[in-house]
Amino acid sequence: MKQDITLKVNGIEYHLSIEPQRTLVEVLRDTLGLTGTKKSCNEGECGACTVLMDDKPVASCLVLAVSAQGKEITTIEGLAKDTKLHPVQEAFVKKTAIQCGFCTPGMVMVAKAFLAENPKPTPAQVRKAISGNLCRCTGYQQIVDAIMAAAEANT
Amino acid sequence: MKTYSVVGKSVERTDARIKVTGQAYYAGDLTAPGMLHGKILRSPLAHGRILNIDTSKAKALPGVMAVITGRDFPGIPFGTRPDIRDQLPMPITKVHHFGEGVAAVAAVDEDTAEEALDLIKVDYEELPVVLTAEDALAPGAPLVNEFKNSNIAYASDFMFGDVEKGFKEAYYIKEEKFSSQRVSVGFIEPHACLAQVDSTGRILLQGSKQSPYITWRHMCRALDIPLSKMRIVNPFVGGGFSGKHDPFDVDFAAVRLAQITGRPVKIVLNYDEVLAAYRQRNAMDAKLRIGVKKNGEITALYAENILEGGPISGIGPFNIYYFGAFLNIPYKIPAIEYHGKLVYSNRAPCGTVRGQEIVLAQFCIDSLLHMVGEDLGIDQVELRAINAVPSNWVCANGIVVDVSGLSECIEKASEKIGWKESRKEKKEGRGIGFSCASHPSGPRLGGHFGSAVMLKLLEDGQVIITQGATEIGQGSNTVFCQMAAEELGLPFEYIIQGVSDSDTTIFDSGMFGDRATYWDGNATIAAARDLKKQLAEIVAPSLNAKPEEIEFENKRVFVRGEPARGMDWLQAVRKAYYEKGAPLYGRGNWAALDIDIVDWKTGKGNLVHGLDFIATAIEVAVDRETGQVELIKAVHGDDAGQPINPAMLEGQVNGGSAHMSGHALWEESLYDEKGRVLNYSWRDYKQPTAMDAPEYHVEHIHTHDPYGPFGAKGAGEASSCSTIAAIANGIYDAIGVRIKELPITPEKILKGLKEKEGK
Repeated sequence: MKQDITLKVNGIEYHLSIEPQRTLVEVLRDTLGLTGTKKSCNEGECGACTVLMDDKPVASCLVLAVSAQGKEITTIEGLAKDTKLHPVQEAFVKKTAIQCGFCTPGMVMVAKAFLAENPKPTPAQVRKAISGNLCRCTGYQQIVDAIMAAAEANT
Repeated sequence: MKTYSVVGKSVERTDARIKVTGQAYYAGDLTAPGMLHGKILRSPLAHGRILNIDTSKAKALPGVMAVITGRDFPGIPFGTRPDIRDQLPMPITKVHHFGEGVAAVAAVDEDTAEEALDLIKVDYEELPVVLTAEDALAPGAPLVNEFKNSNIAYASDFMFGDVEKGFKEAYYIKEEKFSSQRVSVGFIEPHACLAQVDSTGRILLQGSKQSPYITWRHMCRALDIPLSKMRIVNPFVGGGFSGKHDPFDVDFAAVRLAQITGRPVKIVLNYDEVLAAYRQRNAMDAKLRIGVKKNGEITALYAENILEGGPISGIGPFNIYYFGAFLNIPYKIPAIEYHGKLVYSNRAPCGTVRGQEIVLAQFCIDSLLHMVGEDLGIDQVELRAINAVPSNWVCANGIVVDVSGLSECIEKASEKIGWKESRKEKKEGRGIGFSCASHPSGPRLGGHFGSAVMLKLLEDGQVIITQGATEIGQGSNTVFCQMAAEELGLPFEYIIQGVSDSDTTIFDSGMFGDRATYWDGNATIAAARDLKKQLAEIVAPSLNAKPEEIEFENKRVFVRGEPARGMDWLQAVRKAYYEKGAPLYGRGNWAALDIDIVDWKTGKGNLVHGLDFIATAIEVAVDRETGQVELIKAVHGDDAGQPINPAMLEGQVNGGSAHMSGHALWEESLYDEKGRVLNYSWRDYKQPTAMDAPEYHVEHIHTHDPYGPFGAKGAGEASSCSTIAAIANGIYDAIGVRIKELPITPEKILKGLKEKEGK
């Protein structure tokens, strides 16, 4: 039985009719076509599907879409303003923190939320903040460097 | 040395902005009108005869459009080489490993496809399993692969130099055994593809493929269709690390289901399927004996190695050769004897993983070298410096080293990690370990082995580049754009990256072994020169010059030595288009024709150019109470010739090292006694996180390779090869415990400490 819900994603309200067991990542990707949010393990271990819900990072594979109603959901598609990248995105580009790119959206979302609460972090704090997001390409060093650079650019 | 304007600069990746905004579309993101969703039914047994598969109930479920099994394919085996064609698209007579796909469903949505899987009934007759090399080689062992009458999939045996004399001359001889575990490849994007078939029967496959043309050739063979009947296009690929070369049941099933239904079929795996049933690294059992002089100079090496490789050969025959071949380097070893076997088993299939089996060889030899140094009281840095191969060196097996910066790599790594200082005042529970390694810039394999690049000149002066090499995250596209810009005398932004599409791209042998920068890089230069030659012929008459006098620099086309006597690049391009009606394109191909096709069985031949070198130093802290190892800091002295993009190179070096720290310490695919994988989720299979990885530093040692593009060597995989031994040696340096069986778990460390203290 489908259920009517309203989801607010990247500032836009969507009126949707979905099955109540659908997870947020499924609705974002399959219903709204926002495929920038990636799906891999589907059990909250890899962090690829991270989005922000009221500015807090969540694994969207573990959130039912119905329970995301009434929240401000931000995905990777909602960060850049026209062609101007968000400072965290800009730092990822400048610091060569991207390789295959599959973990990148989740990493960027976590970093954005983390820096909002911790504007002057240490590298160790950054590492802890992104420890729920797996990357196999980079060895994390340039991702940590990028997040530190984004923090510095903000101060 | 020539100064470059684009090469050697850390320019922004061509795909960085696309990826960081979520606009990069991977195979799982694709859709097509009328698309169906596919799912795969997996074997609960590691070894069993398939007696019957009843798909009738599944087919009758509303929404199900087709169900297939192995019998829906022609039954033609495929494989890396003609003598090892030992795998089928999907099994027909028996299953070979836990999680092997036995049937596949296409339905209107994923839920219906899942439901249909539950309605398929498979009758199996359980067979005894072969889990280890010992099982495989036991007399009367059950046969694993139905195309072979032995469990020995391949063997490689060779002897170079006078081994007997070498051991006679040795002042000290040491022999040790080493082993390593099954590890998963670990890319984050699961296998996925979208298959479409048009009304003429032509297939379009868009998959997450590392070497799409390997997939393409194998698939056409196994589907019994000519190459022209299939087009393969690469979307963005979420990492490969050698785990995405071959076609899998995912690709075959999607294509077959699309053929039957006439509708597009997409299959996207969940990651637990990847961890249970797809490519892993072979398990190793090795024995090495080394002879050295009093000063530590190596006089001879004897090695035996058995790789347990799952039910198919895959690239395994090359792995077993590579292990022995790369014992010859990066250290000077005048005589070497090697006996390697690859055996079949009922574990997950193996390909290889980042760094190939040099990773395992180097773990063994650099651990053994450290032990020799300890026994003889030789400083670990000096020991490696004494044995480091120099430039213009010919290894015992015939591999030729043109340029080696290894001595400088060792010097830099030891200086930056603070080796000398650490010897003066040793901190409790802290240690530093070293390992070196060399990785070639792409071997010459049998069959098609060349690289080709095409440069299409647009009338606005920009150039679209397409090459057979594929971008899987390593940054090759950016590197080729840099090289094309440099050679054409254009800004980096003038070169636009095209897509990898078998209809338009010229074919490549594959994306492996650090070959892209080197092989496709040389092809890029050739293509740019071809384009310049054509343009020079067009503009030369109007400049009253000969075509060979024309130069290209700073967006200008001019007569050599007289920059004012020329025209803007755009003017020259328009001359071609508007005066000559010539929309130009440049083409270039490159292959190392002066190196040998190596005989994998005898190991003879010089298989590569462009040997890159690395010296890795890792500082570790070991907790004596818990046995936990913390990686503090890693320094890589890296000789990749001329770095084309230093920041991207650093990312490759760091990434390989972090990847193998997981292999060294945390990762292991565990199997029960029936061959069932126990930890096929990331909850239980632990890949390194940002908190596990150390702080990394890369010191570029610039050399100039005589054959490489702009003097570059292949790069990126060497750090995978040097990391494991550096960690093992660091742990020994910290607490005096030597672990020779990977992974180095806290349990093994605590046991080692207990044994040591009991002495």
